[in-house]
Amino acid sequence: MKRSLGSIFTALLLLVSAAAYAAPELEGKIVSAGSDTLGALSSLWAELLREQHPRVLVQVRAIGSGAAPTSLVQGAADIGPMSRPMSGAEQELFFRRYGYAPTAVPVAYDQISVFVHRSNPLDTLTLDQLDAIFSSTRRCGFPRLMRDWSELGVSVRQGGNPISLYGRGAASGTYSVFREQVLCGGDFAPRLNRLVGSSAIVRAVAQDPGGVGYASAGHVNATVKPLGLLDAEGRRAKPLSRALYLYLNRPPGADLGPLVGAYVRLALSTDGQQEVLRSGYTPLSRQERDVLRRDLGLADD
Amino acid sequence: MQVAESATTEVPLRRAVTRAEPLVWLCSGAVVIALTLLVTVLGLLAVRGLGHFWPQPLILLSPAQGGETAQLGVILDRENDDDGRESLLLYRGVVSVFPSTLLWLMDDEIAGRSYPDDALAIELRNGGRAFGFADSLRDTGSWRPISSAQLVGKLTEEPDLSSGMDDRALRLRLASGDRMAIPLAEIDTAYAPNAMSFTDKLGYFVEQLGSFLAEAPRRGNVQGGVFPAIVGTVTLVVLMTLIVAPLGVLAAIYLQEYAQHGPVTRLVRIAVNNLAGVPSIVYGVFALGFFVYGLGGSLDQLFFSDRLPAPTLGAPGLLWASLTMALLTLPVVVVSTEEGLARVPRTLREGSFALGATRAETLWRVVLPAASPAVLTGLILAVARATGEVAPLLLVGVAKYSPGLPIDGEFPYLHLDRQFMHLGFYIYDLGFQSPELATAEGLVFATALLLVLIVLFLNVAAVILRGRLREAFRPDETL
Amino acid sequence: MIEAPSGLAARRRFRDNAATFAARGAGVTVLAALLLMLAYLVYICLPLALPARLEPMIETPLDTGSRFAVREADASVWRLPPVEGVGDDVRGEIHSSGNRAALALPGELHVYDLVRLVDIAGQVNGVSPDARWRLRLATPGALRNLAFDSSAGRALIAYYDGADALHAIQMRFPTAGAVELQRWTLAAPALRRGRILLNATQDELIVVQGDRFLRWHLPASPGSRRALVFGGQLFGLASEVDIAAWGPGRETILVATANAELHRYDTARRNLPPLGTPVALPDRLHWIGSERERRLSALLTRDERLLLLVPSSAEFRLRAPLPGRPPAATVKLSADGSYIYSRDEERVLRWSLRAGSPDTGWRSLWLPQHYGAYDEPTHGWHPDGAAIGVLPKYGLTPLLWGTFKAAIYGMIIAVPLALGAAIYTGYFLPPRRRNQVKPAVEMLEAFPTVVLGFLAGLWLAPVLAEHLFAALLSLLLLVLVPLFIAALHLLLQRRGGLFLHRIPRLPLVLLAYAVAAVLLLVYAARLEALFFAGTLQEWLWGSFELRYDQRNALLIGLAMGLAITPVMFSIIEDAINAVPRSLSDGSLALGATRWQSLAGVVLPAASPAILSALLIGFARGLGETMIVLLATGNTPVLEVDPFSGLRSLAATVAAELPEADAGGVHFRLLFLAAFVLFALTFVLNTVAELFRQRLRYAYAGR
Repeated sequence: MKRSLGSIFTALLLLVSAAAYAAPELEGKIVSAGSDTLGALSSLWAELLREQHPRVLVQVRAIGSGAAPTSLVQGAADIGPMSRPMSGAEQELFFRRYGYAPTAVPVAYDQISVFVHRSNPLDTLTLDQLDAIFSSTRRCGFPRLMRDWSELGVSVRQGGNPISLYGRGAASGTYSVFREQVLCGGDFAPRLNRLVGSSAIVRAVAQDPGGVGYASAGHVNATVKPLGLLDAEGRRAKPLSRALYLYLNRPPGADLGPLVGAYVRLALSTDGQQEVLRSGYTPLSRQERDVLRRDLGLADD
Repeated sequence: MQVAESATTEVPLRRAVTRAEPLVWLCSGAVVIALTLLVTVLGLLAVRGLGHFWPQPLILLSPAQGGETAQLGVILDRENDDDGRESLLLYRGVVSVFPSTLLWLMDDEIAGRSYPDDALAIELRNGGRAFGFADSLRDTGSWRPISSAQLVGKLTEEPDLSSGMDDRALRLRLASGDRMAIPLAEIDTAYAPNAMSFTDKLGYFVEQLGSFLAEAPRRGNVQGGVFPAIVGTVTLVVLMTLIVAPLGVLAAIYLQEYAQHGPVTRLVRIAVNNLAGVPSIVYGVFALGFFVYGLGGSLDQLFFSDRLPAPTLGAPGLLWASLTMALLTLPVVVVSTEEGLARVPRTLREGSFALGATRAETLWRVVLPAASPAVLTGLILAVARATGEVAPLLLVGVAKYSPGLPIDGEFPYLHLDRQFMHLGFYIYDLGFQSPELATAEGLVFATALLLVLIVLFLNVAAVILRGRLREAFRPDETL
Repeated sequence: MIEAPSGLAARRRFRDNAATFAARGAGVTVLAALLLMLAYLVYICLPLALPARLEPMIETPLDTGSRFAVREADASVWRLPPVEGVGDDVRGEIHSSGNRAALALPGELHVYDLVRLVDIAGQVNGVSPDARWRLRLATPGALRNLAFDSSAGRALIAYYDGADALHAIQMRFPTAGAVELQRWTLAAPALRRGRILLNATQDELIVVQGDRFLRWHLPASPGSRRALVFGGQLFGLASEVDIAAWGPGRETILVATANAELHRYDTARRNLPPLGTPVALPDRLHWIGSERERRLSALLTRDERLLLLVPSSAEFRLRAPLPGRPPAATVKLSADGSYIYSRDEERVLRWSLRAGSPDTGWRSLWLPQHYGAYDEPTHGWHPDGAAIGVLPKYGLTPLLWGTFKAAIYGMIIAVPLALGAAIYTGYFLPPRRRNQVKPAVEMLEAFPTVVLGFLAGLWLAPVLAEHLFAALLSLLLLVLVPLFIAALHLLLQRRGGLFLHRIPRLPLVLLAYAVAAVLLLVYAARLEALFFAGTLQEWLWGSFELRYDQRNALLIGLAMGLAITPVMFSIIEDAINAVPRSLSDGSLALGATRWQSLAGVVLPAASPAILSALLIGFARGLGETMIVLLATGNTPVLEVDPFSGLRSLAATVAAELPEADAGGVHFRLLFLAAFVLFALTFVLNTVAELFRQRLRYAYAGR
């Protein structure tokens, strides 16, 4: 008797909790295509969403931020993660196809870290020096290009050593942001090694005593030595940072649709932001998330 | 005088040099190099790949005078600097909420090294690994001290201990002396590698290998297995075979049995040979433009217009990927089948004709069965090529993470429009883009090993089949 | 009784015919597949080669009751809502840029969003009244030389007031919330009547007046990295200035002079230095319009002809008369370059520029260009500019260079390996051993290129960088060790008359290699220190300024060599083995050594197949994607040495095509890259096939 009472109680409890989760069972497929910086994070969110809604499929293609606008415009993706804001041209492309602007949802902040081999005695670089090291244009105005560590007054090996550059390829948001914020919009030196992934950059620099590279801080680990960045007056420069966005196709006045809505809600939820922190990025503040949720019509949770 | 002298000594030397056959030695060197390369690369993949599943010993490094805290972890790398001092790259697992899991330690920062038996490695459900010593366990309301061995035993005996959401937790004593509580629900497995016997380790190894093959990836592909990638690769290859087999065999039959020796035949033959030489990426480009954007887009407008603008077939997916692969491997099948058909003795055909069989009957009943090993060889080689090919897939259909298998229990069971995971792409993705490369590297090697073994197996099968074929039918001298 | 067999016969005949049909169909399908691929690639690439065409003029009449703006983005016509308190008879000055228009009225300025539709009546769109911002201006007199520029989230307005002071107003349009304004004033600028040009990032004004210029950097944030106001002279002008205008992408300033020359000035450098040599024009100009996203300018000459020019390569892509004779002051080019339009009070005239890709002329793609911010003409592959408001640079030469470089270094490794192994296996090994060795070597084919690329990039690259000297030495030893054994053999023979005919060569060489490897491990570091007083890399850099790049051509050569060896080995071995034994037996019987009969008889006989194998291997190397993508740094450099990197066409396609906008120039250029690869391999393979067929016929007769 006691036992059955207990089981009834349990059943009731289950019912109550089921009622609390009474949302209709979600089902369907969404495709996320874009930034590879956000790739790992997108996969984590996709896993989390699948735990909540087992019948929802999220496919993640992580190619580079440039893929997001293209895929959104072609309708090949529902969600376009980008590690930089969409450019005017890309927005125009979207606008021409749909007649309204894409919706940008910032989901995390990312710092770009510049790092060298751990044996490198250098601790800081100014942004102008960084431009002179990485670019072939010196648009920020440094008087000459730098190609040898001795020009920075350090010797990584005896007799000077050429500087080897590592970074991402043109499809990546990291590349664009670095180009804009550090190179003043100039061109990277042709000999910049454009590797296909951020972790490959960290690894290459970890193994190259003459190397210097940049990557998203989430990928940087203790195998390399991050550099402090200074502005022209020698003060600590504003960190090279960028917001990471999810771009969505939302007609004006419409809501996000159940699937995309669930995904975005998850990304902005405490659990989702916990994953942001674990991936090495900076989560959004509570306030920012509330504002976003309200703007997107996701305020019900 | 001098000239004559040197000439007289040179002649026998030259003859002797020719007899010593230096170039033959060089050529034999080339054979040795080729075979050594084969063995070396395979060995490298095997050692690094399989080593990933073998339990790594946990080393406890006690700090030198005035140093920081003690560290417990797995050594990933060693390096000697110019002065001969050694430094160690230590993977120390999760030590706080925001982890810095890797640490370089110089020789002079380390006072002592030991491998304590009670050091515990814990695989966490959702975040890397933690290393430490079991301190106490709360499974019935209050904290009770527990030893590492007891904990491992308890977890093996009561597998449901670490399931369910409640406040049961393990308190772990870290090497630094801090204590960290881990909910039991977070713990996937726990083991004490230093205390494991060889058989224990072997058991662990087999278990890990099993879950590598049978589980889905977790934690942004850093943990877990490659099961969806295996399924994706296999489905791709099977679909491709269904397309390429009839087309390739028929084309070969046309070339060998029907075609007059005229300009068209020559053109087709050159076309086949050229298709074989066209870089795979070009197929990808063509497929992306023509199949995906062109054909797929049109089909969407015809059949799936209710779902537009979200594309069904107008996006990279399984169907287009397998079509691309079929196109890519078509020449392999055609060439191999043609070769097989040519080897079937003419007498067989003539016998069949003499008995009144039509050409189609002769082909179907006599020639094709005789050539079937060659057809099979061609198909296997095609499958081998398709399995290892990644470049076109970058353009037409692989996904970084796609938990939905291309085949499942949901109608229509085979999802041609889905993107899929692929072993080759998994290597590319994990090896170059995963944030935890330093620790996931073993996984990449393991996946690479798996892929190589599959392709190798297919190639060996093809070689054996080809050998059988050659024994069965002595080559027709008219070839 | 009679029907059954005939029915059977009919069925049999039908089946036979069906089989014939199916087989023929399959044959044709294969041919069609190849032709389709070719045709499709050409179809996608062809627009790159087409210059623009000027379509007939479209005229949109405007009713005189309201104000109209023409959206710069696509030359569409928009009716502006009436302004309260200002009658429609006060026309005001209307400037449009991007998706916005600015209306300057006395004492106030209105900015409209030409995005939100209210209604669409005919060819004219209506602007919603809430998409408007009104700025009250407290500046004296009428606005002069107004300049207006707008982009996605912000707009910049600059003008001279009645007292010749220069004003700039920046508007920011956040996604939510009110518009933010920021104003700057330059009370007494050095140039008081100049043409105001606003840069792409909207943080700088450049005023050009005659041959003088003034740059005014708007200090958006404290601690700006550039000087604030800077003036100077435009050098190199031989004649009076007609027009100064932005060049393509607002990277350069174009100045047309009275002697019909077009000069370019580099805004990336502070003192606006001239770029390259001036372009000679057919006539003086009275209007210059430049595109924002393509490297293209439209010029209107005084004799009413339209010229399309790529200023950086001085390529003219169109010369056509512009009908309608619009007043030069009102001509504009739409932002995407698809329309040229002109407006007055009564009508809007539009000329659409159709098709083609005018900025991708032959010279622009393959020759070095004099880009802004560079001292020299350069090749550049920077296809991503659009993302940050800089024009992309599409120089294909470094990619083609890299493609060949990768293939050639691959061949340097693969040819000796494949040729040697094939000769030994095909000619010297007894048949039983051959049947074991051949498939084993061919198993090298089993390594997928993604695995080789991964190993080369992540495992071999650092090893090679750290032990470069040892690696090069071991490459040398791979050749020297067999020669050393031969010498030893010779010595033994001469000393003791010992000459072995049946020696187990393979184990012996393997053993020798192993010994050499051990010696290398022990002594390489010491030898290196001895020869180079440090490391080889340091010596290369110190003595020749030769940079050792971790991701280099040597690395690619090794990985690619491994990838293309098996296919070449297989073909060469088959060919050598196919040469009738009787030929070399005859030669041996005449007293030739084995090597002599090989070199004199067998190899010449097999040479067409060997050549064909080399061509096929080379073609394979040209198209190899994953190895190059993963193991190189994808550096578009034009260098020959093995220690520098490269970027190949195939790897570029793999890396960039997924993110390229379908139908855009970048997309088409990547198709062009694929087409170039296709064409190269097509030619190589066809030649190879012809060689092989020659061989086939040569032995068919025997």
